[in-house]
Amino acid sequence: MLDIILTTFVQLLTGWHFVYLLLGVLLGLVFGVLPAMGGAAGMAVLLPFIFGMPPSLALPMMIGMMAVTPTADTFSSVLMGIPGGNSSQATVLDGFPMSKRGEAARALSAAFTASLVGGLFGALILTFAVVVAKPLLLMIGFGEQLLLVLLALTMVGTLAGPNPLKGLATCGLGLLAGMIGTAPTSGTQRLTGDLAYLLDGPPLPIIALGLFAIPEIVDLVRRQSSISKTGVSIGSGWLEGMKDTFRHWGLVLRCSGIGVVVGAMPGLGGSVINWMAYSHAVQTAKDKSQFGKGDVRGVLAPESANNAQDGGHLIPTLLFGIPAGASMALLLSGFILIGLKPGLEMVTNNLGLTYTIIWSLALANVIGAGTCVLISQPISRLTTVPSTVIAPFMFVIIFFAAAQSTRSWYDLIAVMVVGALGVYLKRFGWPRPAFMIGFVLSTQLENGIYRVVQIYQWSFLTRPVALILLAIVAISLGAALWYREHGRVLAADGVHSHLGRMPQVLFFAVLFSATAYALIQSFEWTYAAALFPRSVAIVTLLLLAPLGLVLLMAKSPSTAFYESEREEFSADVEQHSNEYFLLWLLGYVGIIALAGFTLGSAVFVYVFMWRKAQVSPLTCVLSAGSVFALLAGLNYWLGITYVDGLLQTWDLPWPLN
Amino acid sequence: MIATRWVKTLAAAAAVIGAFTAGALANNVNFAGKTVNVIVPYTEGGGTDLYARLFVPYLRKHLPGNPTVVIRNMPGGGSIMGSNHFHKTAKPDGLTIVATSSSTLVAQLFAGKKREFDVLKWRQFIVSPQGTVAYVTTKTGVTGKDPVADIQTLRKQKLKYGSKQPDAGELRVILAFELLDMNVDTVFGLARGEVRQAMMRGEIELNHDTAETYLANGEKMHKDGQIVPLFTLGYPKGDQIVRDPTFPQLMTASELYEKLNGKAPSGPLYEAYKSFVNLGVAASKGFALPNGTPDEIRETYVVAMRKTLDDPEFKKASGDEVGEYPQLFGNDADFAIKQAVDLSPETNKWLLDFLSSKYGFKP
Repeated sequence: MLDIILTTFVQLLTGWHFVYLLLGVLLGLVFGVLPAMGGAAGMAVLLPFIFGMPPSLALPMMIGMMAVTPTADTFSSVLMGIPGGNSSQATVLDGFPMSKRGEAARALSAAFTASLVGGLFGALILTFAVVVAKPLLLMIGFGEQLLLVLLALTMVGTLAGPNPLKGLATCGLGLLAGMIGTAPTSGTQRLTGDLAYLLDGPPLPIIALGLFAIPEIVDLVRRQSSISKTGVSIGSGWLEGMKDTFRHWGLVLRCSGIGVVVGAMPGLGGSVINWMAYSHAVQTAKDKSQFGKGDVRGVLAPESANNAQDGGHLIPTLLFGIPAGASMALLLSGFILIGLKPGLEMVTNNLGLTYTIIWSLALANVIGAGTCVLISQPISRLTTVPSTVIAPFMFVIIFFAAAQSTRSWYDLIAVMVVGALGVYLKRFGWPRPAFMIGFVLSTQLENGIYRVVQIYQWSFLTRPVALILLAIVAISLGAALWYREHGRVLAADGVHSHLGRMPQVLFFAVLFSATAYALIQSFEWTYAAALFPRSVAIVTLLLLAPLGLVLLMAKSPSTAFYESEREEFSADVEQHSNEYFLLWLLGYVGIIALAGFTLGSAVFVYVFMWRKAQVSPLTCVLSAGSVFALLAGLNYWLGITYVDGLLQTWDLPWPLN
Repeated sequence: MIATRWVKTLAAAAAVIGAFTAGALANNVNFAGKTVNVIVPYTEGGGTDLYARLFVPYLRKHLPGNPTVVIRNMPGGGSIMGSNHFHKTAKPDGLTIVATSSSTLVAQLFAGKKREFDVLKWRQFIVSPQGTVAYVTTKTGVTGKDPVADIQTLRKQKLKYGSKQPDAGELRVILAFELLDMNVDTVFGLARGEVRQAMMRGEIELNHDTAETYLANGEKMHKDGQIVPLFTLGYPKGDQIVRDPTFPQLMTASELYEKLNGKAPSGPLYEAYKSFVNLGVAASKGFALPNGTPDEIRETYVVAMRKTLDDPEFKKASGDEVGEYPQLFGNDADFAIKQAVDLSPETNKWLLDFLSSKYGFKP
């Protein structure tokens, strides 16, 4: 075995093998940097080129591409607060605040070093796992999968914020939002409002962009500063970031472990793993006060986990031919195109190719992380650009990313609606991570419960792995209850003030009625389709009710209250409200409706910079022109398509069509 | 015997003449300098997406004038979004085509007013059939030696099968179990790979795969003694269902019915089953042009498809994806679609009653 490991390594470093690996890595970096375009999109672009290619060339290219997307998507998460992909949503929580503190380079290089460690760890585990993992994986039945979902759910406890009622209720709302769409057990359509768009449920990237990216950027333009509030040069922060990784090596390794193990197990998708790692970091930290405000551990945890998870995902993909996610499904079809049949043969007859995959994974991680570290310092300068200049580009990126979900108009409308929700959740202190976790786990939780009841009733609880998982769930739950903040004095005029409560009460009324509406609707569904949403809706209403009483009656500050408008804004803050900038976004949607995405975005950038940024007309024109050229270029080279406007009902020459 | 040979010769001659006139008809069509959009109403990486991506380079090569061919993935609503978009916006000029699959056909049957398209109006130019094999774990006590005895063994047990949701193409297998009077409890919310994994863990007894996937995974499990193939859904030929050409040794579900009950299957359950065999086997995947596309454009596509299928490069790349099944072109493709979704009112009513009484499904 050792000689195969070595020969494949040498082979990979020689001649065309290495060139193809580099090509794959390059493409992966491009697709990683583009938000919401992950490994799956990159793999789709690669597939036509690998027909009939020898496996020893095609594999390095495919794996190289796939391995570095979770590394490169950190850029938009950290620098702009736009989740770069489904597997790096949690990075935004502390990565973006670090950028705001002027530590963008440090956050990035910490993220990349952690990614590297995670990726190598994943490759290392994979090396042994392909030989021994099969019996272990077969112990993870539906019962164990349900416990994993419950474990992920208990981690919400640590992300619930200062008011547990509010946190749990928000999680309930996320669970309800995740139930929108077709109920699997009966095909009943729940809360779809008769829209075909919602049959599969609201797309995950739309929820992530709306909840995290839009509120952050609206906040940014209101403050009229650059992203980095200190405005100072980012200096030599990147060395500091590397040191951070090694300072917290225990955490990085543990989160890599979470990535591989949970990635290899069936039942939990890649979008949950980074949240689990983040929660783990919060749970195990002694001083939790800086999380959400720019704690580097909040960057290290999800980033090491999301690179390690590729190694984990590859285990069932290689051993059983069962893909864990869309990019693995494409990788599998790539395998078939080059004549490889995944399954036990990969470990018996094709062991050489299996180690080509593993070495490619390791090398790609090294090259990818290295490249990212090198460019992180110049790119970090973006955070010193005034927000009114950079914001229009960020809005274009959000809309670009959103429209990748179904390439339809509904994406833009949906991201606006979720964005508005996100702005108020942020303003009134409803923890958005809790909503997100509820949303991503909803389907798995519901399906899991039905499956277990159908197959086991509750007898699975006596199985060994189930018992271990049950113990971990209990520990996690205990930890969540134990580590509550106690006895903090709330200032009468602080964010938790009881004064000027009307807007909060109104927003509460909206959330309460939405939940009540879901409950009422559930009586029109079949029993099987209604049982789970109805239970969640009732529990959520029970959590909301006491909260509502406090909001209406309290005569003193309470953690139930939260109004970010009370935070100190700097002196030169613009007097415009959230709503004002949401209207700007609505205007943007309007222009796209008229002129299509490419031209509409250019117009939006021009108008926004002209009205808001007070830069020279030439700069406005140049910016608009470069947006136009970039979007047209992406269409030309990568075949990315955009939504059409009224203008496109006429036959127009490229790139206007 | 002589008669059949004569029929075959005639058919071959007709095919030659057909191809000739088709070629003549298609002469006027030229796509030089144009872009052909292939709307794929699924996300990147799904089965239909891969099917479309397999053909794209060869469409460019074999369509007259070598147009640029680009794929536009428009997922959402289980293919309803993209199909609606195609139906509403595609012009009958041959520059927009759509990839179809059994989910689109299921939507045609069950999607109600969310569906704004009508596959019966589209001009299908190819469908690529793909067989279905149902199999069971050996833990149930089946041996695979006598399929009829195996079904009788299975009828005494309560079995579990996994599927995505009641209103999906997988209903064809549920209907086959129903036809054979087996006591099957379906666990929903599962993809095929997940079911296979659950089978290895001993949580689920019954599964099915397409011929392609079965050859890649099931064959080995069969050899290792983990599973036994029970039956195929067969292959529709006109109004009949014959044995699957990839698995001629396996009985079809309707053959088994005949052996078990001593008479050929009939009635609304069988009609619904047949429609779903057409939907999930014969019209498993394909491409269509929009409503009102002139014959010569469709013939151009048929010719390009025939050339593609004969292209040695394509044969090498496609592997099992197209398999041993005869591809259906033009009117034959339209016929398969019609057989799949143009149900008689009583079959339609039976199907909806079945879904609503068994799973509480309402369209």
